[in-house]
Amino acid sequence: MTTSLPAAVGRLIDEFSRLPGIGPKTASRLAFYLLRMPPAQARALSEALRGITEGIVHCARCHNLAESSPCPVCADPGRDAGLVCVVEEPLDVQALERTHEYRGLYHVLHGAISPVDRIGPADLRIGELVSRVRVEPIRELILATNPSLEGDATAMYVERAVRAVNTDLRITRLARGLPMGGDIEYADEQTLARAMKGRSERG
Amino acid sequence: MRLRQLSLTHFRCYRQLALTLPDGPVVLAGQNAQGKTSLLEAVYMLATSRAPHGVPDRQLIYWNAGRDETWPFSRVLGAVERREGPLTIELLSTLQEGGSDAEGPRLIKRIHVNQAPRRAMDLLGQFNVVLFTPQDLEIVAGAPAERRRYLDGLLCQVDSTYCRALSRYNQVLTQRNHLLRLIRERRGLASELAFWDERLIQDGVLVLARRLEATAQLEAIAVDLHERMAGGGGALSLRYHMSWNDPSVGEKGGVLADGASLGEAGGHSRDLAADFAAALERSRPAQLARGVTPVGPHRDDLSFMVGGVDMRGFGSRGQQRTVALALKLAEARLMAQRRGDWPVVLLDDVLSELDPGRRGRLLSLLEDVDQTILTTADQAMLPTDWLRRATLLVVEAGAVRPHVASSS
Repeated sequence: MTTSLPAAVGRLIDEFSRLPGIGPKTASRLAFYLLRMPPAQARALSEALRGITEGIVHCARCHNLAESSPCPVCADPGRDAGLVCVVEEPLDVQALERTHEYRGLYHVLHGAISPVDRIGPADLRIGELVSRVRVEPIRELILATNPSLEGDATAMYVERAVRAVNTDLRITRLARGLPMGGDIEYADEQTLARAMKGRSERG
Repeated sequence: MRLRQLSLTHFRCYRQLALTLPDGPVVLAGQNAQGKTSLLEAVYMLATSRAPHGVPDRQLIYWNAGRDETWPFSRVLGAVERREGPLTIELLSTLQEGGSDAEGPRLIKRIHVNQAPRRAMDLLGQFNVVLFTPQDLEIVAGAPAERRRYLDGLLCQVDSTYCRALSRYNQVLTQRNHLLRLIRERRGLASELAFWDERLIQDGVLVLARRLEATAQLEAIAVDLHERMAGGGGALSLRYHMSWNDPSVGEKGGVLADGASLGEAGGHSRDLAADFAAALERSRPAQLARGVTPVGPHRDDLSFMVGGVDMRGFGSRGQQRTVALALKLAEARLMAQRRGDWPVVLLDDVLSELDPGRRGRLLSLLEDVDQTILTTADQAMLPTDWLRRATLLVVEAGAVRPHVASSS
């Protein structure tokens, strides 16, 4: 479909259309936008792209994406090494860090169990987490996987795997309830029922 | 409840339509392929956001919209009068370029209830309809899936907890069946099934318990309706068959021991959970060999006995049709009981299938309903005294006009 175009442009369009949420039309729009960009800006983009393949490593301890291993969070002596928060994706770490409420460490699983997508426990960093529980002075594991079917399956699997090596460890799950700015009238029953169950003492 | 106003833009064969519906029954008359059924489908969609079973969603957009418009879309807007207060529902469908070329354009649906955006799940139950079609015969004569669809369609319109549980159940089932295949390919471990089993049982028991309850309620209502439609010939009874009580469910009837009532079969949810767990355990070798889950509410069935004869396999067409009508009438009545308001009843060309006697009885059994909208190619088959109270509209080539009486 791109035979009348220079091969480089066609290749760029093909690469863009491989990205999630981008169809062939959006892909060509992006490609032509880049072509009209000042060359310096396009070069900056291409360097940023190269950067993610060359400058990024997985932290050997928490498996988050970082420029060095251990990552800044794991290397920070001010953080509580007795607390480990288990998340699905690196973006979840970022979200939790934005709260400035959490001072423990993380463990990134890199996905959730989903047989439909052929992702099983062996494809996640669950074995690595079990090893950490064995050797690190962890007091509490906070399971912060998504409140979805797949997230719940992952949390349950992690819980069982960890319990098999440590029966005393405190394991908690993030509370579920109403979002800020939400409207009780329009909340679904499952969320409302959970919020009712997880209600907290006033004052 | 009543539908007061219906307006369509680029919906199926309608380019533009604005219709105000009067009190009393509405008859949509006209030749075939003029757009009568499309009007009922639009009303059905206002209640469920989906086209009736067997109608592909994609075809709902006016067939020519792409040629004379820059942007193919369709809009269905309805104004509803209810005990709980008025309601406006707007459904907007557009075709959008998909992520992958293979799938072609995707149909994007947006729903507004009283001008505020809502998810499809939250629309269900706001406006209730019961659609009668000639295909209802399949509830009795067709495959078990038709009978489950009957129960699910009814329950989803009155019980949002059921609807959510059913949708989760189906998600869990899909994941679990994929896992079974992964285990068979030695890419997964049998121990990974534990979570999915737990969730399958949890949502499955809710689905099952509410289906058992609804079956008992439907039976209580349908017995009398069937009696009045059939005028004798034996009492109707309904039985719900759990897949794990019968390996050949759906092929033969009569699983429960004679005289076993629904109450006994229903049991408590704790028993149901234990039964489901045991059935999953028993069938594990078969599951691993075939990569499917052979037990659970997705394999259950319903049977209808009249005078001790299983109507699924042994009823005559006439008997089966009478049972199907009784079931649809019972659906409307049960919805009315649960919601405290009558659903709108839609009859799509069902009268032509009936003899004059049953035609009259069906219409008289719908007397209490707030609003009945029916389509027919031949209004002469309607009883004259009934027709006198109805409003007759003529549907022709995607337009609707009032019928001008030829005689006083």
